[in-house]
Amino acid sequence: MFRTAYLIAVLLIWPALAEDPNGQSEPNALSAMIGDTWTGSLASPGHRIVLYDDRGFRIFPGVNFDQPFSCMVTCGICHQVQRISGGWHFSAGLDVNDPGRPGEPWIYWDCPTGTQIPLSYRNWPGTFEPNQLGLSDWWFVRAFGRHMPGGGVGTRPQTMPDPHDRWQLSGPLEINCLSCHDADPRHDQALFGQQIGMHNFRWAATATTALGMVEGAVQDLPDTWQPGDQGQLPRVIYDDGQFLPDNKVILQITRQIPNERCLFCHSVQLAGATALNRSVDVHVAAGMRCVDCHRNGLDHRISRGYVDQDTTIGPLTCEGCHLGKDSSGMAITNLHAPYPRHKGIPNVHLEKLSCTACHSGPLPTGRPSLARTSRAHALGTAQANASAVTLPHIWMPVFAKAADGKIYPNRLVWPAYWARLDGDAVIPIRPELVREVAGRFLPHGLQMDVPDWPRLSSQDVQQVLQALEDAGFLRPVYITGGRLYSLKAGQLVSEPHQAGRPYLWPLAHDVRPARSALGAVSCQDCHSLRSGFLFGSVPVDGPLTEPNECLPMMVFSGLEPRYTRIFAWTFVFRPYLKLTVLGVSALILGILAVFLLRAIYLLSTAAQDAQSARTGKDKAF
Amino acid sequence: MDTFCEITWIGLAVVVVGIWLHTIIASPRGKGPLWLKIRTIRLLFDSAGLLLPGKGRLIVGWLARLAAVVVVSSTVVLAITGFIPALRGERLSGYLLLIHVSVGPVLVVAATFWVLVRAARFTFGASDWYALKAAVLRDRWFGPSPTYPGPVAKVCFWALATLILPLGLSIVLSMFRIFDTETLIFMEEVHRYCALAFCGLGLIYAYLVARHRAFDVRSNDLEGKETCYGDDGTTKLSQIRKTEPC
Repeated sequence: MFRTAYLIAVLLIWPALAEDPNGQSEPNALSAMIGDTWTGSLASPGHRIVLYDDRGFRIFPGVNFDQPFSCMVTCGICHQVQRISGGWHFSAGLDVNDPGRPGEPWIYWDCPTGTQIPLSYRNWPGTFEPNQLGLSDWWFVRAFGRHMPGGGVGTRPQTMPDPHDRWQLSGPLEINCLSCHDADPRHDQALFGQQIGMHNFRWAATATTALGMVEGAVQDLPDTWQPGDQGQLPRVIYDDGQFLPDNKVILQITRQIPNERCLFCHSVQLAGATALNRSVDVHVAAGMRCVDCHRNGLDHRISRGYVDQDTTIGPLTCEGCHLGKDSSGMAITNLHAPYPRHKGIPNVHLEKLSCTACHSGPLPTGRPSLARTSRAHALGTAQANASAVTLPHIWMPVFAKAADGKIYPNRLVWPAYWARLDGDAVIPIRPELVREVAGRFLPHGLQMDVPDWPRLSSQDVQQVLQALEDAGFLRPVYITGGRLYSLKAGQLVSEPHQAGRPYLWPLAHDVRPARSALGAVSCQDCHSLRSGFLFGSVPVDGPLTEPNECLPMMVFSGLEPRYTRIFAWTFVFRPYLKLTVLGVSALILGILAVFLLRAIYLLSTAAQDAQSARTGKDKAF
Repeated sequence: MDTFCEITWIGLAVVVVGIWLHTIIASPRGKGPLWLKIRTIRLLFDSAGLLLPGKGRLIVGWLARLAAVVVVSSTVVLAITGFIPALRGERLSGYLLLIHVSVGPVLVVAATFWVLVRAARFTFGASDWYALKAAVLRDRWFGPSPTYPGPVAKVCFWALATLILPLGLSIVLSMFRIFDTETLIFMEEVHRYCALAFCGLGLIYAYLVARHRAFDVRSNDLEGKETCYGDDGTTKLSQIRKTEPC
C-alpha cells in the first residue's frame, strides 16, 4: 500500500522533474500542477493535506509516525518543486550563471586568528567560494544553515567533498517551504538552526512546525553508526491533536508571506539599537508586507528591487510604484504610491543618486555605524551576541558608486584573513590551520564574551607568518585593513592590495519617509563640509589598523574631493546669491515698469494732443 | 544632438550670418565690411581708454562703461561655460558649473546697473520714428547725436533688460523649495533658451552699436570732438534736418 502511495507521489511530481531545466515553461502548460495554476480566486487555498516522508511514505499515526515529513515530497504532490528550487533562496551554488547583483555574503569569522572573510557561492566579486578556503558543503550548511531555507548545497552537496561529513546520517537539508509559507504563529524558525546544530538536517523542517517535536540528535551518534547499533536516529513525536480523522493535517500555508518570516533571515539593526528606538521601514509602518514589492512567480526568482533584474514578473522598483513606470517608461503597477515631488531637488540628483541614497538606511553621520544582520550575527538564535562590537564588523551606510554610475548606500565589510601567494593570486588559508600551526602566537582567550578583533601586534603577525612559512605555506601573507602584510627578508612589510579591498553590497531598507530623506531639510544635508554623505569617514577596520584610521567617503562615492569641497563651500554664499539676484531682479522689474508706464503716458498724451488738435481744426472749420 | 543643441547652432548661425550679410548689404557707399571691422576694433580700443576714470568724465558714465565691459566679459564667460557642454550634449557640471554659477550673479548685477544708467538713453521717442522712416526709405539720416543707438538697438536693449529677469530668476527660484523636479527641469530649459536669446540679442545689439558709431559720418569727421554733440537731440535734429534733408 505504501509502495503504491510512493509510486503515485513519484508519478505526480514527475512532470515537474521532467520540466525544462531553464524553467521557461508557462504555468498553465501541461506540466503545470494543480497548486501552481491560479484559478482567479483571491482567497488563500486551504491546505488540508497528507504528509509524506522523504521516501514518499505517507505519515500515518502508529505506523511511520516517528519520521519527519518532507516538504519536497509533500508539497511536490501539487507544486513544481523542481522549478521552485531554482529560486534565489535555493540556487546558491547551483546556478553560477546568474549571480544577480552582489548581495549580503555569508561571513566566516574567527576571533583568535583575526579572520573575517565574505563567502558566497554566487561568485560575487570580492567574495570567496567556500571551497577556496577548503570549506565543504557539510561545513557550510552546519555553519550557516540556521538562516537558510534549505535546498542548494544542502540538498546536493557537490562543490567540496568532506571526509568528515555525515550526510548519510543527517540526511539532506531539503527546501523547507514552511520557512516562508507557514503562517501559523506557532512556527518557530529558530528551531531550524537548532536542529542543524545537532546535525538533524532531515528533521529540521518538521521541528519548526506545531505538528510535533523532534527528539534525539545525529550529533550524538558515532560516524560509523548503522541501524541496529547502540543509539538511534532522532524521531518525531507528532501531536495527535493536529491530525484529522483521515490522517490529514491542516497547514496554514499562505502566498502572502508574513514579514516575520522574511525578517528572521533579513533583519538588520544598527549597533546599539534597542527594541524601542529601532528604525522601522516606512512601507512596513504603512501596513505593507515585504512580499508586496518582493514578488515572485512560480520560479521563485523574487524581485530584488533593482532595475535591471531579470524576472518573469518584471522589475518591481521604487520607480515602478512611485512613478508608475520603470526607468524605460514601462508602466508596472497600479498601486499609485505617493508621487515624489522632490521640491527644490534638481534633476541631476535623480540622475546621479539611487532612490535609496536619500531614502534608505540610517541617516549618514560623520562615520558609518556598525550593524548586525540576521545572517552574519545569527540574530534570532541562541548564538546571537548582543554586543555592538561583536564580529563580523559590518559598517553602514557607505555611499559608493555602482556600475550604473549612480551612488548607492551600502553595507561594508573589510576582509581580514591569512593567505598564501600563488603568483599574484591570494589563496586564503583556513583559520583552523592557522590556529593549528601558529596558535601559540595568537592571543589567548578563545572564548571571549565579546568576540571582537584580537589585539594583534606587528610582531604577532610576523611570528605567525614565519610559523606558516616554516610549516610549508609558501609566501604566507595576512590581509587586513586593505593592506597585504608579508615577510621580506624576515621583516614584516605591508602594501595596499586588491585582495584587501572591502566588500560592499547595496542596502535598501529601512526606507525612510520623504520628510526624513536626505535633502528634505536643506541642500546642506549633503552640501556641507560637515555632511556625512559626502565628507564622512569610513573606518578602516581590522586587527592591525589604528583606532581612528579612516578613508574619506569620496573614495567610495567616486567624487572628486577638491571640487566637491569647493562646491559644498559655495553653499555658504548661496543665501547672499539668492538675495542679490532677487534684489536686482526687483530693480530691473521696477525700471521696466517705470519706463513702460512712461511709454503708456506718452502714448496717451500724444493721443490726447492729436485729439485736441483735431477738435481744434474741426472748430476752425 | 538634442533640440536645444540644434536650436543653438541654428540660432547662432542665423545671427552671425545675418550680421555678416548686413555688413555687406547695408554698408555705405565705398566702405565695405573690412573697413567696418577695422573701425570696430579701433572703437574697442577707444572704449578701453574710456574705462579709465579721467578728468572731466562723470563717475556715473565711467561706471556705466565699466558695467558694460563687465556685462560683455561675463556674458562671454557664461556663454563659453554654458554653451560648450550643451553643444557637446553634456550636462554643465564640475568646475565649469562653479565658474558659471560664480559669474552669473556678476552679470545680473552689472547688467542691472547698466540698464539703470542707460535706460533713459534708450527711451523710445520721435527720433526713432525718423530713423525707422529713413531706414525704410533708405535715406541718409544721422540721428540726434553720435550716441543715438537707433531703434533696433533700443529694442535689443529693452529685450536684453527683460531677459535678465527670467535668466536670473529661473535659477534662483529653483534654489528655493517651491517647485518640483519637473518644474525645475522646465526652469532649466527656460534658462537655457533665455541665455541663447540673450546671447543672440547681445550680438545684434553690439553689432548695431558698433556699426552706428563706425558709420556715423559726423563722429568720423569730428572725431575727438564729441562734445560738439550733446544729448540734446531735438535741437541738433532740427539743425541737421535743415542742412541735410531726409
